[in-house]
Amino acid sequence: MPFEVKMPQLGMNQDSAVIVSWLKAAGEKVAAGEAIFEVETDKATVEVEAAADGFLAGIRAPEGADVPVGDVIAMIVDREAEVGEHESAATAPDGPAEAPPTPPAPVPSPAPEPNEAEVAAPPKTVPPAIAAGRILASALAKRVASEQGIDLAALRASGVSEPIHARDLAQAPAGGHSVLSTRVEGGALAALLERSEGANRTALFAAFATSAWRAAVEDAAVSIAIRGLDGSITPYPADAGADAALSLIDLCDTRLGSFAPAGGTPALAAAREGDAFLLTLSFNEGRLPFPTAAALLDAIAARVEDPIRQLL
Amino acid sequence: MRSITLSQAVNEAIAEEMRRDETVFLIGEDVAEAGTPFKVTSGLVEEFGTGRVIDTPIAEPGFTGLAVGAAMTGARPIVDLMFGDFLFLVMDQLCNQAAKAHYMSGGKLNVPMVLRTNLGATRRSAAQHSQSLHALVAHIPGLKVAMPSSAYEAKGLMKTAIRDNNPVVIFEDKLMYQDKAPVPEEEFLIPFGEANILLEGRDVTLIGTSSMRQVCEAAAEMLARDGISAEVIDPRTIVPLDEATILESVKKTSRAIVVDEGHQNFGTTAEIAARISEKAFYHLDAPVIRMGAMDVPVPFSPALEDLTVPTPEKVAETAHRIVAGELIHAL
Amino acid sequence: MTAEPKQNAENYLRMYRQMVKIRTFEDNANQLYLDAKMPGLTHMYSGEEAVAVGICEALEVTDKITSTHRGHGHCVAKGAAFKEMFCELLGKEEGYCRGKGGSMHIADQLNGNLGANAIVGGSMGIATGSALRAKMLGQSDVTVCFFGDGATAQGLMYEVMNMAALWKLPVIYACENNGYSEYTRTDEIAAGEITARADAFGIESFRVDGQDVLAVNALTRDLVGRCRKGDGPFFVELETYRYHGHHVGDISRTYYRSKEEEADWKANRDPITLFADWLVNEGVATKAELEALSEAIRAEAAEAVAYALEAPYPDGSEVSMHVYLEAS
Repeated sequence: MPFEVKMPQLGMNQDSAVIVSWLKAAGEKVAAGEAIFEVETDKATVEVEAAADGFLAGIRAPEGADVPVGDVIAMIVDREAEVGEHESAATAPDGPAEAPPTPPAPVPSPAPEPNEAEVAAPPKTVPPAIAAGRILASALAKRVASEQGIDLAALRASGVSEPIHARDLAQAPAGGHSVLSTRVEGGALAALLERSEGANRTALFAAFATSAWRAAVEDAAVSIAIRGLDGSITPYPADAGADAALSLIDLCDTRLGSFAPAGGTPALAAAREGDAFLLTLSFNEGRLPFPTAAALLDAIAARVEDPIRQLL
Repeated sequence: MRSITLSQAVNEAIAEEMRRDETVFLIGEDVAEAGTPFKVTSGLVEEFGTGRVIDTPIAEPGFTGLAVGAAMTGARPIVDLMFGDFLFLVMDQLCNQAAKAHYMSGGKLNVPMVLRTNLGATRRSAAQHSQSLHALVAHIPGLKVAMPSSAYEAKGLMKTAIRDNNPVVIFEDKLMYQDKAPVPEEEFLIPFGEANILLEGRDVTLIGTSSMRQVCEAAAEMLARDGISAEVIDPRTIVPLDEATILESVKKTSRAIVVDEGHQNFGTTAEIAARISEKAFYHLDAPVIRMGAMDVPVPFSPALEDLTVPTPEKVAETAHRIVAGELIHAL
Repeated sequence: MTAEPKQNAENYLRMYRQMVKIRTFEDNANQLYLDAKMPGLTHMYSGEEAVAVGICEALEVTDKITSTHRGHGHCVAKGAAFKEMFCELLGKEEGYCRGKGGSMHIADQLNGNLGANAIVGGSMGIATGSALRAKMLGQSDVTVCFFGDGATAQGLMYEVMNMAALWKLPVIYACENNGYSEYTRTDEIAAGEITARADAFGIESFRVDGQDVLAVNALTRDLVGRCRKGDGPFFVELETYRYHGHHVGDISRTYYRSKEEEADWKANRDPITLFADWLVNEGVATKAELEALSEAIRAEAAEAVAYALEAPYPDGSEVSMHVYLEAS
């Protein structure tokens, strides 16, 4: 199946972004992680990387176009032969007369060992919101749901009748978010910690997360809230404000395996699993789209696996 | 504290201000010996004489115009407009002359006059003596609009109106003239633009102007029996409007019903509801509901007239529906 | 024209100067409008100068007037200054109303001008109310209500004249009958005699040649004096003529009046020419002196226009000022 390239949301209050240039042409081979186009937001111009290997096809948005966040702007197809189909699909409004051939299995994320990445099953089967139409909810309910990371579609699917009001949010399944996890070889990091006197593992995780965030989500300073096991919250960097983009929980000194807190803010938990580290990213797809989350966790994992790369 | 009727309260306010300031005078149809059809001004002519309590011919635009000129040149007239419905007759003098003189003259002229009139249906007076037309004047910049909801407000707001340097229109509910309320003997004024929270509540805010305040209070009692806690607010003046008090309340309760006796379309309820929707949107858990008078000329037959105005039962029923979270696309 | 010329030379020359000031003001305003330097809508008083000046020269500063959409003449005659008037016409900050009123709403309360009014007949209540206030508070000022023949069709006039007559108010209703109600001859819109309207209320009425400043002034002096003694109200119909159209843009007007008629009034009944001839004949002033006086006024107007054109507009923050007066 072809991979949809969407206009990413690159800032908090951003509705759209302008395509500055396409760095790859239709039909060119692209590799996951390779920059394929540049966009300009209200803050900066950034390169957007491919999230899958394949061939760029069906470019729908020309350079200079202001494209709403989330709109599909191109496809990445598996075989060069499919490129032409998507080109014609993009330009001919009636679309291809023939159904496209059944594509091979998708490549959901650039994780090097896809079998190790797993998506936690949601508590109930959630029908796609788009199929069921707009969710009827009060303005207050929508605001509070957003603040608490509650997925109104999931709430509706769980049987809460519309319109959804603020009090109905109490029935929201705990969490209401998606979970991605990965197991990473820990030898290099352990060696590094051993070598450097006074090195702080948690701070290193925070540094990795910061750098990965800049690469995968937004090329701008990000602040992290480090949640301590004593209930404390420590900003990282130390001078960061209260509204962190990501929270970090280091469970490596405990027997615990993962933690996916409720709330809309993405959370990264790091735990020991033998010699390896188990990294868990919980996130609300409404705020952090799955492809971005996948790219983020992958980038963190890459840095944990090879910390020297980060330190250089 | 003693209780007096709304009619006595207005009378006292006018008399006190006429004693305090010799430029204050009263002008209108049958305000002197007759004391108006509602007997609100009875006795004033005995104290102040026909020079300051002036009976006029039946010429509303004429005596309103006179008041504008007198106010512009140093007097403080109180115009008595016998029925609110006659506002249509005086619109040029009120809206083109009084309301605009200060602005058009770049602040050189001002018109410190009060136009007191009334509103309210269910007096079986039919379409030309039953209208509540305050929204009409509230629409015009330069006019202030007060809507007393009891004898207490009637006195305090009237005194403030007389001392105000701008044209003020006061609407008294003609069905409330004989209603008594506690009114202090000592002097007091009620500032414009300060709403009164009559009852604190948790689940829904009921905003009621003039006699709709009593309707809201009665509705709140009914709701309390069903375990619904309503907050009742009387804006007291709609221009200026105490937006802050209303918004604060709605942010707390997350639901609001605006009740007013003017026609619902393009009316006072619409204006207040719109401000709530604009400024407290993300606190709303239900649509803001307008409850005005039906958009029909007021009918004569009691069987029909009573259907046209908001009642405590209707307000309570509506509150039930929004607190229950019914899907409301139209009421 | 009758009077004692020599003794009152100073008064006569002031009247003459005021009439020339009005004409000069209007000539400049007309040009500003035609040059597209003046926004909006304006109505010229030219031709009617003897009415405003004859009346206002009979008033004290404390006496009040209410004016009309054709109000520049009343404003000048009651003592307003060119600079502030031109600034107001151009919407400038230094205008009498800080640019918020414009041509049709100039008010100059310090000289007793309660403002021009763009609603025909709209100021009749205000004038009568001003007189009611004077009587009620025992003040001696008189109010003159200027209005045109067109306004006699408005109902408000009858309501307020009724009350003024009932209560003997010190108000003079000055009907400037310039023969045209906007674009229509007055005899097509007014049934019966104009003065008969006042007669119906028992208000003493007069008809006077509005091109004869001395006649207007003499009558007004008499009526103002009687008003102060409590004999008001009065009604005066002043027969006059407007040289321009209803408004500045009313250029093609032969459908309602002939060019010959306009030429005849200008040649034979111009109030300024008539008064100048009288002043010269009576030996009050020479032609050269009057010309020098006019020249000085033209220079004053040119300076005021230049000033107003350069003057600043009000700051945008003023847009929401003066809706209400908050301080007492």
